[in-house]
Amino acid sequence: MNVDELDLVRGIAADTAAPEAATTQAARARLLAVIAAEAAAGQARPTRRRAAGTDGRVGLRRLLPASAVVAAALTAAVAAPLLQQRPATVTQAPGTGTQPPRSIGEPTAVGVLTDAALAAAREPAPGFGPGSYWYVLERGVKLGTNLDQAGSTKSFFYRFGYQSETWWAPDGSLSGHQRNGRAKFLDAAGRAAWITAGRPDLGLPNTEVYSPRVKQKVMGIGWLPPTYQELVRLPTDPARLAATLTERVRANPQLRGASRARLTAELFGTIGYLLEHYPLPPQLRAGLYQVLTRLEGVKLIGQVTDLAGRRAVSVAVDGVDQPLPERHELLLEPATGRLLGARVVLTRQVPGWRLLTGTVLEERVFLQASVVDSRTTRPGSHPTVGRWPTAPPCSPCSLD
Amino acid sequence: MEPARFAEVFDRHYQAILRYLRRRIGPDLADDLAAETFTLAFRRRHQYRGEHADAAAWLYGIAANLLRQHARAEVRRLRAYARVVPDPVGPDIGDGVAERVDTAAAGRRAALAVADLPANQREVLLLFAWAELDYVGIARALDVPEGTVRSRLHRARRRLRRQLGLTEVTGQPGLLAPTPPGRSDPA
Repeated sequence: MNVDELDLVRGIAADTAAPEAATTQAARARLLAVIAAEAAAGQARPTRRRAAGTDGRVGLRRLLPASAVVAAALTAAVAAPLLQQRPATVTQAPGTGTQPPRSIGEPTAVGVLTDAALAAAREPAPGFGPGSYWYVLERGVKLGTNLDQAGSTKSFFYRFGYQSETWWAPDGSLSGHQRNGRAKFLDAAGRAAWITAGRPDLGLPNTEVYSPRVKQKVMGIGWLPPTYQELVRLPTDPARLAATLTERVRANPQLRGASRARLTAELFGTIGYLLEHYPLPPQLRAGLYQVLTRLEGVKLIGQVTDLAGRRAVSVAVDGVDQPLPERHELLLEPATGRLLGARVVLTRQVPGWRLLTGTVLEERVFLQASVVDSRTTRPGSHPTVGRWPTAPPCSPCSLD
Repeated sequence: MEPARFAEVFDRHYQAILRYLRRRIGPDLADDLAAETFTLAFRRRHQYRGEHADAAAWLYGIAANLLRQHARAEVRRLRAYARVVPDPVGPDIGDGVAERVDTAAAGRRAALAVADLPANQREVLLLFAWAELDYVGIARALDVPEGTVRSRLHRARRRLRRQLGLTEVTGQPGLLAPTPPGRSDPA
């Protein structure tokens, strides 16, 4: 029997009779009577009630990461233990003694990003061109779960570290690999749930290989990995650059009809991706930082310590239309504004999910990025790259 | 939403809401609940967020709340349905009969399986299968995150498949963090 369970459900009581006209008229009359009664009582404008209705449901707005709510929660978020996420803890909350950026008196995201733009403009050009490759060494940690049991007592959460090396060529092709370490459960209950579930395969540890023959798409940006020529043709004027990138993001079919906030979040991620992965000319890099200063909702989180044990300043934007309330952070070197890494942080506890506010859902740090002369060459300062990390991947990270 | 516009909302959605409620708890209770859904919706119209062009999800959410007080009646109706659904043996007697009888039997088992679902999974399943709301619509209706809708629907379907003896859908663990904007995936 070739049937689908949904088809069977759709067949249940499918022969229910259509409503009679009299039923509809009675219901309509009942509604109109209520409307008339309210009008007669002069209550045409209803009193705004509490967010949870009389039925006790929580208003959806409270579940969305409204910026005001998130801003208010940030202090609590940074103070909360980051669920064994060592050492990526926020060490100083904004406005509590953080060294102010040079450009303004009070630390703000705009100030930090403006400083980063100024510093980027002063950097020498990366000297990239035909016959050369852009090498990036990245380490990170990710969180996984059994999504089909999300929110139930049968759910389990595991974390694993990874290390990737990539070589990007001027023609846009990418080669490299990512080595994923062993998974570690966040708590004993999670491990017990995994055992109860029959020890499903987590797929770790493993190695993923990026072949230059297999094209990779870039999610938010909506285009295939750019060639070097495409990158250097991007305008450096912030207004024109913002318009160009926004147009690119809007062109992504997956973002058709997306809200303004969603597009902003995607643009934030896109700029982060460009800063992370490509040898950009100094003026373009500076322009990208300036575009970030123009985005609505970009905020300063404060000083943090990244996965590699380095001090960083975090700027962030709230994730939009994501299953969990989260924020996306870019981690910048305080002195130079250089991008050190990025992470995704849970901004509010979700009922049933055993994750605390402030849990790092994903973090990646960039340990090396430089021009090399072949797809197999590593920079001279790190001729060999050793073992991939286990979870936690490195605390602090060492480069062997 | 102004009172004058509310009549339009009623005209657009009443039939669908009533039909949905009738499938869930039968006409006697459903007629009253459907009318109550719209009067409650009018009183709570300030909660309606106008950015969503379609008020259907919001109305189904109100109806779902009202239905919760009648969960036992719903389960009784599903079990009764499982008892009375006829075998669809029509005049075209032929090779297809056995298959149609099997389908009818599966339909009965499906009704029982739906009756046995946890209430929150049944809610999501029926909003999906009967009201034809998508994940986002169900999330709006029930005021829960979309991820919760997906997981409840996944669990409901898996449970149904097990009870109906259909092929098991395995839940493959996966990354918790959604692919952040700007990350690369194989094309």
